[in-house]
Amino acid sequence: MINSYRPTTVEEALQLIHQKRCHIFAGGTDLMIRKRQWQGAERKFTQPVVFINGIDSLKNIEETDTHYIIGALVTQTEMAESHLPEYIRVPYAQMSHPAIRNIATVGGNIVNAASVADSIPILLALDAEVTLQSVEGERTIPLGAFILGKYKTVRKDNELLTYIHIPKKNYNAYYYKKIGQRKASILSKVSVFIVHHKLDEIAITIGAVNPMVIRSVQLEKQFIKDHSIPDLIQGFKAILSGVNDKRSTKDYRETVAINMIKTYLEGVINEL
Amino acid sequence: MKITDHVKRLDVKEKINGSLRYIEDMRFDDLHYARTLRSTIPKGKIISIEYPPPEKGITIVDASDVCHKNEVAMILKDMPIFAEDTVNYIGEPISLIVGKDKNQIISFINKIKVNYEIFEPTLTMEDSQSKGDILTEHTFSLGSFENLEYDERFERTYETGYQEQLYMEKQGVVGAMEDGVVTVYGSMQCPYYVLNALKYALNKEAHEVRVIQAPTGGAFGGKEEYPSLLALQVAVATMKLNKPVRLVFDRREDMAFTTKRHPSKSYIKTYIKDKKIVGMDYEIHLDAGPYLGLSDVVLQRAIFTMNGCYGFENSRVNGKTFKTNNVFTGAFRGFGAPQSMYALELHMNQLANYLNVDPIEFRKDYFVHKGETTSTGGIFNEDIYLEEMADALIALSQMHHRKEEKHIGYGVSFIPHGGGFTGDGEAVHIKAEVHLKKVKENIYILISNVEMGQGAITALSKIVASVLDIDIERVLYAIPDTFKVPDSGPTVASRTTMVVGGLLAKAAEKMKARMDEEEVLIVEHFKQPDYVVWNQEKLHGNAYMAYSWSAIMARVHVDPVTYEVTCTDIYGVYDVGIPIDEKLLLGQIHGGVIQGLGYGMLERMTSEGGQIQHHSFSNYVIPTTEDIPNIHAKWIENRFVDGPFGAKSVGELTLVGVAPAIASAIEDAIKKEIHSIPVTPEKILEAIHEN
Ligand SMILES: Cc1cc2nc3c(=O)[nH]c(=O)nc-3n(C[C@H](O)[C@H](O)[C@H](O)COP(=O)(O)OP(=O)(O)OC[C@H]3O[C@@H](n4cnc5c(N)ncnc54)[C@H](O)[C@@H]3O)c2cc1C
Repeated sequence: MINSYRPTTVEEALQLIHQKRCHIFAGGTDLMIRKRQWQGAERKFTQPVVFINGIDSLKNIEETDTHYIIGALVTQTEMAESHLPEYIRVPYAQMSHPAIRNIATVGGNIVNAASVADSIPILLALDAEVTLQSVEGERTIPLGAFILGKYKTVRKDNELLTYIHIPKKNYNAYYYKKIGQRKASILSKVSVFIVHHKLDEIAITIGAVNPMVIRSVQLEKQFIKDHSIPDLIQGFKAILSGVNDKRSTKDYRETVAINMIKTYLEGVINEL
Repeated sequence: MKITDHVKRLDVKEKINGSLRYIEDMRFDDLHYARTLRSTIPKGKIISIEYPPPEKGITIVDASDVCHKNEVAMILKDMPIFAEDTVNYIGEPISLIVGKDKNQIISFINKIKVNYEIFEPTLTMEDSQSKGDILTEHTFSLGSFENLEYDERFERTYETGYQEQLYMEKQGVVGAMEDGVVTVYGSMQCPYYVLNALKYALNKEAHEVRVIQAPTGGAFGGKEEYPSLLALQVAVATMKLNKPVRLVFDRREDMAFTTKRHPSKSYIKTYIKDKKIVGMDYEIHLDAGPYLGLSDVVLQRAIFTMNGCYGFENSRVNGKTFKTNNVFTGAFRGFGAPQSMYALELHMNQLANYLNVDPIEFRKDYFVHKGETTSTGGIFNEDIYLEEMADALIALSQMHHRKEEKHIGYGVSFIPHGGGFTGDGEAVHIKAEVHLKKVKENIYILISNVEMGQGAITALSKIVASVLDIDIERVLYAIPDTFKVPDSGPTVASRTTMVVGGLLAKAAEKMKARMDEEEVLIVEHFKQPDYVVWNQEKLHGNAYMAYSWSAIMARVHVDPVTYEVTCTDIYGVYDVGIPIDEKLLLGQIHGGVIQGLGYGMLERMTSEGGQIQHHSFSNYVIPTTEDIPNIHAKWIENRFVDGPFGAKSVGELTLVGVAPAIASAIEDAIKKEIHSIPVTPEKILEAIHEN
């Protein structure tokens, strides 16, 4: 017999996950699939399940002078329909399909930490930080430090991801392209996200190629200085390590990632 | 009513409002569930099966419970109901674990260990060929290549992969003992195939076994021969337990282990003289998996129309099915033609390109006409309007007003598709019988052909109502139940409207004179038209009663940065005789285009070590609404004398020509040849990188 709990406050949830190792259940769109065994049979949950979607305080998008603060339980639909900048809204609007977007949460996508998770390239490029809370305290760390690898994070069992902080920047243009095996409702086989302000400030991430999202602040800085696309491409090529799998090939992922970055930035430079 | 009236689909209301009960929703008292224990290796001997200690509530059903013959009667009887000593593919059923509690069943099954002696499996057709594991082979030819004079030979090899039917409703059956009768309910296309398999394996008479079709949520051939296996399994289980037993697959199970479209390899050699085709030599190989199943029939349909819409002076056709330890392959809309017509039509476009001629004009020289000889030495008995269809396609697609556009390509295909069983199959094997029964005001259609989403009930009711000139509401279709309906044959081969509908039209004609009687039963049997002359041994004569035709043009855009393909438009001109219902025809055209598009550019399914790799929605991708092109369809009217109201077949035709048209359009856009489908962006990149 597996117990399940429906806390309505963060404190309640923290107590529960402190006492015992639990499955934290937000939208459940990853969890339900991972735990399935046979349609009509129970999911193979081995720990108590804590349904956190009753915690209303984590469902808001707020704003300070410097940051957007996103509650972990904000859904993808709410992100897509929010007043956030377009370069945040559009990627969320392209995830999965409406039924899933209506329940899938921002926090779930991050904590799940799949290599194909579409929000991570965006949040990483935007220097987002995440807040983790437990009965023992609270810490806010950069997203890059939170994710250790494919499906691996530094979250401790008794910690709840509560907020995502996205710094406000004065980016005035962006490029986002997610490529899947078809046009919609599909996981990424490669994605590229670029946000920039002219060529004074730029962030570039590549998703779904390496086990972890690729971002190189060093290459970005160099590019701001020299505007050299060949050097930038050379730099990225050295860190790409795609794989052949059921969805695509190493060659395709790497070539297309490079093609996209190159084509977009050539366009930007031409316009300058 | 008149045949030209528009009608609403008769089956959709309950489907849309959700009240229809599919096999998974149907209620049975004391229902038990079954889950399949499957082989995890492609080939080997079962040394022992370590079951956990017996548990209350769990019953194991296996080969030892089959009371008569552990064989699934299809064309051969080479497939067992449950694997006994040997296993021949990954996923082969070994036993059913049956109980009332799904959690108990799953935890029991997880504890079972099967010990095998592993044998070297055959995983490719090349390997199968070198081992001499050819299951069947056919050759026929016209003319001769012996002293053929030619300038050059144009040779290509083409490959196609698996395609999964991906019916919305998964495979499912229920076996129940009802008044001492072994009764099977199931999602299926061919109740009498299932009945015959039950009679054979259980050694029962027709009155001791009963098959009732459950509402069928899509099939596409996937529920043609495969449900016989499942029906036998639940029949054996229900006989052992004396309780109803339901076997419904999970989606991944369904995708990984049930029949799919045969992977193929085609080798085409074209002999050219003075820029004209003087001969074509064609060979096709199909991967049948471990058992023959329907593979030889699939092969025959692949090769009978191998010459496509063309008459070549000299042609040779050879086809083989190979035994492998890959998943069992079988029926799928098109039945061999999607493979052979992909190869032929892409080849024709590549030839036209090589000879630097317009692909449509190039084809016109070879189009067949009424009275000419078919590739199997029969005579085309019908009016054929390929030239007119070509011109209609040119007009519909505004081909002569095309602008030069970057990254845009066009491709065409011309396809014949025979309706009904091949050769004399309808008369010799199927021997369809239909009943039309009048009880007071109502007319009942009693046949074994099923509604599976294609609109059969609507089309057939419309035929009967139109002949009788009565309201369609007065025509009622009885759910196929082998205790109640005669054997009008399987719901396959695009035969339901053309052949069964034809019989119903004749029955209705006879009914017409007796409409004032209270109760009337009209029985109608299939009679082979005189012009069908066929020798099955030599595969000589009229392979089909009549052909339907399509001319298709695809327009694609290939993204130069990401190599993603967008099929923007499909233009199609069809000859399906006279359509019974224009909306139903359009439904088939739209569905066929979409399924063909999936086959041509999206639906990649591969096998590694005998295991299907793409067995979930997250990596086997069928088109979504975002992938669907603008579909521009037109049809010509060409009355078929033996079809109801002049109708010919529709269902399969609409899929067949799409993949070659799209594949050719992609080649046109990138100016490279690609010799396999689906044409994924990965393959486009590879082709571009080649030099
Ligand atoms: C059909 C379908 C399509 C999809 N398409 C996409 C897509 O296009 N792109 C994409 O990136 N993903 C996609 N996904 C995956 C999934 O929808 C997302 O990853 C989603 O954001 C997960 O959120 P959730 O709330 O459902 O997570 P859940 O399944 O509830 O949780 C996921 C994991 O995170 C943990 N967790 C969740 N919230 C917290 C928290 N606040 N604190 C600590 N731990 C937490 C859970 O314990 C679990 O391990 C798809 C899934 C499906 C079923």
